Amino acid sequence: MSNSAKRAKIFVVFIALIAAIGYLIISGLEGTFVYSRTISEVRRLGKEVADQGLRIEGTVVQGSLQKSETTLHCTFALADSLGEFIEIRYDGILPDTFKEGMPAVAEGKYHADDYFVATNVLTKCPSKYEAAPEQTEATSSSATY
Amino acid sequence: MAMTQFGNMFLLLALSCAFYAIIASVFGFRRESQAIVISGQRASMAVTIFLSLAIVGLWQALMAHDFRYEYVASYSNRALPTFYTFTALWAGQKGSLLFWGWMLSMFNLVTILVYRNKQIRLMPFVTAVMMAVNLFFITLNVFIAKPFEMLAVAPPDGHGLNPLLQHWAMIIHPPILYLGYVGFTVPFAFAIAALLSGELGNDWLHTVRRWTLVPWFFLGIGMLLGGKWAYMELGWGGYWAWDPVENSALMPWLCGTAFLHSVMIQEKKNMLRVWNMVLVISTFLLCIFGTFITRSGVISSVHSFTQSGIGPMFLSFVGLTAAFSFALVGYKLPVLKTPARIEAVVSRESTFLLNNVVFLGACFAVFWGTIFPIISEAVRGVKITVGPPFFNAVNVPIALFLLFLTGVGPLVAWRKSSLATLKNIFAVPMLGLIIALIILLALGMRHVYALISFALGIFVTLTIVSEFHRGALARTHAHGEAYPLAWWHLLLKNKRRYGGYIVHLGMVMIFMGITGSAFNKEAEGRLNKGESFKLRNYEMVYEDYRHLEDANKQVEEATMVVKRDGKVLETIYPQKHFYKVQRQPTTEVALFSNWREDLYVVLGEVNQATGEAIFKAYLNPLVRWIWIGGMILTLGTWITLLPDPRERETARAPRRAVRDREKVQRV
Repeated sequence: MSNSAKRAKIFVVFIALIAAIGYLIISGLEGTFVYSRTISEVRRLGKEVADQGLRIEGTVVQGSLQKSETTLHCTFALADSLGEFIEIRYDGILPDTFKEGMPAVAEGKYHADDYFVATNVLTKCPSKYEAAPEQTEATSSSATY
Repeated sequence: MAMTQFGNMFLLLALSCAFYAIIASVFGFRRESQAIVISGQRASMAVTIFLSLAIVGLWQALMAHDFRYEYVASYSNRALPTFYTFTALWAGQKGSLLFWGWMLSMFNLVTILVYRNKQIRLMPFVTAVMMAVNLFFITLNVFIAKPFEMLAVAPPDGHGLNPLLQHWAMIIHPPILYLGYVGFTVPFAFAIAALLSGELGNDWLHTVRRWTLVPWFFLGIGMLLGGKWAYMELGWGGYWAWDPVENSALMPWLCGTAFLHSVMIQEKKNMLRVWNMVLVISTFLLCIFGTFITRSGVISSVHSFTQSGIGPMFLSFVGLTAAFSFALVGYKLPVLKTPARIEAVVSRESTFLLNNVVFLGACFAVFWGTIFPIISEAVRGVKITVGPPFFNAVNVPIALFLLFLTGVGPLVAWRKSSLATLKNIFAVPMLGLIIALIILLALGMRHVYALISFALGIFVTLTIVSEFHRGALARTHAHGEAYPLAWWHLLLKNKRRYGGYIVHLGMVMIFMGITGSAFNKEAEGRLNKGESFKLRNYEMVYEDYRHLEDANKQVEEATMVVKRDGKVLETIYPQKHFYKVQRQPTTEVALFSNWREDLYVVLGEVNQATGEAIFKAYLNPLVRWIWIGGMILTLGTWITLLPDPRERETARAPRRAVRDREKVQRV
C-alpha cells in the first residue's frame, strides 16, 4: 500500500470518529433540553407546550402549600411578576430552603388540564461562594450541583 | 502588626511590580542583558511577597472579626468556628481571586527558583507570561473585586459562612482545584516562551510535561473532592450533576489529558509539534474560560440570576489571550512543522491520535452543552437548560470508547504492530472480557452500557497486569531476580510507563464506580417512631428522634437501625442542621458504605410534635470504588513524577549545552 493510501485510510478513520461524536452531540441535544418559560407564556400557549420539558420560575404563593398526610405528595402555586399563577403538583421531598413567599423553580411538564407536574423543585439560595443575598444561584433537592 | 490597613497598598505594590517584571523581562531578553532580566525576576518575586502580605492582612481581619471590612462581614460571624473563619479567605469571590493571584505568584516563584539557571533562554518570557496573567488577577482585585473594601457602618455581627461550605471536603476542595487551574499557567507560560524565544527543542517539553502533570493531578483530585462534598453535603444521593461549575473543571482536565498523551509522540518521534502547542494553549484558555463561567453568572443568567461585574473582564482576557497565542503559533508555523508522518494505521501514534480526538470530542461535547443555553438565547431568543440527560447521552459512549483505548493503546507497539504480536498480547485480556460478559449475563444483567463497561474494565485491568507480568518475567530471566522483586524494580526503572499504568488502573476503578450508578435504587418513607421502610433487602427502622443545639446551629437527629435480610447491621444517625445566623437548613447524610454499595439515608422533614418524619434512602452500588480509584490515581501520578534515571540523562545534555552557550555570551 502506498504512503498516501495509508494516510487516506487514517484520515477516513478520524473523519468517521469526528462524525460519530458530532452525531452524538446533535442527537443528544434533541429532546433532552428543557425550555425556560414564564408562567404567563405557559398559560397562554397552553396545549402547545404540553409535551415539552419545561422549567418555570416564580414566587411560592403564601398559603398555597398543601402536603399530604400520608404520602410525599404536595401542591403549591407559583406566581410570576405579572401576577399569573399556576398550580404545581410534586411527589417528593421539597428542598431544605423551600418556603412560601420565596422564589422557586419547577421543572417538569404542563398538563392540558391547567396544572404543572414537577419532577424537580429547586429553590434559589446563597450559592457556594456568594453568601451575600444579592448573589444567588440555584440549589436543588435532587440534582443541580 | 496588623497588615489589614495596608491591604490596598500591598495590592497596588504587587500591581506595579508585576508590571515592571513584564517590561524588564522582555526588554532584558531583547537587549541580552541578564542584569535587567534578573531585576524583572526579583520584581516578580516581590509580587509574591506583597500578595502574601495582603493575604495575611485579610486573614487578620477575619480572625479579628473586623466587620468594618465588607468581606469579613459577608463571609464570617462571631460564632463561626476558628477553622472555618480561617478558610473564609476563599469562601467569597474577592478573597478567592486574591488567593488565586497569590497562588499564581507562588508558582512563578517556584519556576524561577527551579529553572533560572537551567532554562536561561526561556525564563524571561516565562516570567513575563506568568506576570501578565498575574497582572490580570491583581487588576481585578484592585479595581473590581476589592477584598479590602470598607463598609460605612460596621455591623455588630457578620452574615456568617454559607453552611453548605462548612464541611472538610469543601474546605480543601477549592485550594486544590485552584492549584489545578492556576498551575496550568506554568505549561502555558513555557509554551509561549518557547515560541517567543524560538527555543523549540525538546528541552522545554520535559518541563512542560512535568508541569502539566502537576496541575492535571490537582484538578482531577479537586473534582473528586468536589464530588465527595456534593455527595455528603447536598443530600441528593449523587456526586456529579453536570453543573456548569463542574463542567468548567472537567474541560481543561480533558484537554490536559489529551496533551499528556500526545506529548509522548513529540518526545519520542518529534511529531505533532503544532498540535501539542495548541493543546497546551487550549488547556490554559479553558481554565480561564471555566473561571469566567463560574464567576460571571453568565450561565446562571439563563435562570435569570444576577450577574457580577467581572464577567466581561474575564471574557476579554480569554479573547485577547486566545488571539495572541494562536496568532503566535500561526506566525511560528514554519519553524514548528515537522517532516515526520504517521506510517501505519495500527500503530501507537495513530492510537494516540485517536485518543486525542476522543478526549477533545468529549471536551467539546461538555463545552457545547455548557454554552448552548447562551447561544440559544442569543441566536433564537429561546431560553433553555441543558441538563444531565444530554451530557450522559453523549459522554457515556465516548467514555466507553476511551476505556477500550486505555486497554489497547499502550500495548500496540510503536510504529507497526503485526497481527501475530497483537494476538499474543490480547489473548488473555480478550478471554477475560468474554468470561466477564458471560458471567454478568448469567447473573441477569441486561444494561448494555454497564455490561460493556464492566467487561472492558476487566479487559483493561488484564492488559495492565499482563504488561507488568511480561516485564517482570523478562527481568527474572535477564537478572535472575525473584518474581515479586522484579515487579518492584520494573516500576522503579521506568516510572513514567508503569506509573502511567497505575494511573490507568485508578481510572478503571473510577469508571467501574461510575458504572455502578446505572443500578442506583431509591425509596422514600413517611414514618412514625417504630415504623420502618424497605429498600431491596435493606430495612431501616426509625427508632428515635432528638433535638440538639449549639451556638452555631440546631440539630435534628433521627436514630435508625439498619437491617439487611432481617439481620441488624448498624445504627445510623441521619441529621438535619439549621444554621441560626443564615437561617438555612442543611442535610447531614447517614452513610453505610462497603465495597459493594452505599446505603445513603437522608432525613427530610420532622414533625417536632409527633416525631413523624420523612426519610429518603438511596442504594448506590460501587461508589467506594470511585474514592479508592482516586487514591490509586494519586499514587500512580506521584510515581510518574519521581525523577527517572533515564530521563535525567537525556535532559541534562541540552541543559549543559545551553549553560555553555550562555557562558560564551556573557564573556
